[in-house]
Amino acid sequence: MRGFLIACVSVVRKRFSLFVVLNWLFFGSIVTGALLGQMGHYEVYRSVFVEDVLITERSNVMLMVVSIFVSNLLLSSFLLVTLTGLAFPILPIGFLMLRGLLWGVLHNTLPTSLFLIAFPTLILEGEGYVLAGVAGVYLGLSWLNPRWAYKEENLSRADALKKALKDAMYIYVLVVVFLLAAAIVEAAIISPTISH
Amino acid sequence: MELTERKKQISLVLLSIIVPMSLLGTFRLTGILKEPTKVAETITLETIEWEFERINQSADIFYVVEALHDDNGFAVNQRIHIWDYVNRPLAWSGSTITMVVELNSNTTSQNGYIESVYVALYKDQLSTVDWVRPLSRFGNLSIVEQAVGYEWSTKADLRLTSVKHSRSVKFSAMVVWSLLTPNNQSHQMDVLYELIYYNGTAYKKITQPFQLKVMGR
Repeated sequence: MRGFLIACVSVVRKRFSLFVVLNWLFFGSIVTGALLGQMGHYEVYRSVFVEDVLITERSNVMLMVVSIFVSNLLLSSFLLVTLTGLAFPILPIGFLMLRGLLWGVLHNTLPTSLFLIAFPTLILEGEGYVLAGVAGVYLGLSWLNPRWAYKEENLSRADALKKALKDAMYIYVLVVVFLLAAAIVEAAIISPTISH
Repeated sequence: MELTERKKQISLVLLSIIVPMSLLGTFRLTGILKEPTKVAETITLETIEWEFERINQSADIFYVVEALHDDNGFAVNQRIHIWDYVNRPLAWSGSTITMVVELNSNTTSQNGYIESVYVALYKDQLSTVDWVRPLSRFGNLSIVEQAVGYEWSTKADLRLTSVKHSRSVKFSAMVVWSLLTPNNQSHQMDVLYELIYYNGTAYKKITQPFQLKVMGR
């Protein structure tokens, strides 16, 4: 198990520069979003439908964890960030930044105590999306120009895509870990807040 | 060497998270990012109801559902003008009710001002609510967000903020409520006006609910 996780991490380490750049872009977008929210620019909030779609059963914590996790994994990570990357490698970056802006705007509407309490969820869930973004960008690059994705290997488009898919599966193990942790933390924060 | 490289990578990843998040926290704690308005008191006024029986023909209604509230130099008047009912026999195209939601408010308090206005139109999922934007008018208010009530959503809403803490604000927005059912089906819409104002010492919120019922024949 430990060896498998190390293998997953090593796949991300090979894409280290992209991972760090996406981290900066994503978390930087959250700060930018919060500043935009401060100036009254709430339009970005309405531009993403995801938050409206998720209707969670909030009385049952376990159900809430599963609901948040499944929605974040399938919709927010796989569909919006990874699959769009397969279509065009720039799209995951755009979606990540848009989500960051959205989070920043929404986050800024919270009172300071909740604002700070939500940080662990932001970081864990954000890391999940950034990793999904890394997988998405490489999936797109692999068929667009295999050399951009795998410099040292002289791969055909089909081989590069196969390799990127395999790498994406390894990366998704980490995505699952981060999103599951985020869902547990988020449910733990949300349920007492709502009951209160 | 490998360990150094690994440590460097971990440091760079941590920095890419810690620096933006620390900035965010610092901005809030130092007041650069201001805390949302704290409302000291919320006054919920009595629900005003309106009922209409669906008919098999189109008709002008021209009915005004209205609420007035006056509180120590602060006044607010919320109105819903129900204009007409357009009957369409095919349920999928929807019979429609056209109405105008309006608000007028002012304060005579020396340091008082209107902070924000929020209007939500809660509907069932067999109807839609659309804003007729070109026919909307705003006085000393600017739109923060405006959402259409699609079939799958639960509400249409409009969030406004007062321009430069105005002491007098007003708006008028046309709405089309489409009922996507045959005439024997009933519908209900709950309209909620929320206005936050500053009376010179504290923020107060006035909530005025309206309930519009369209009864099936």
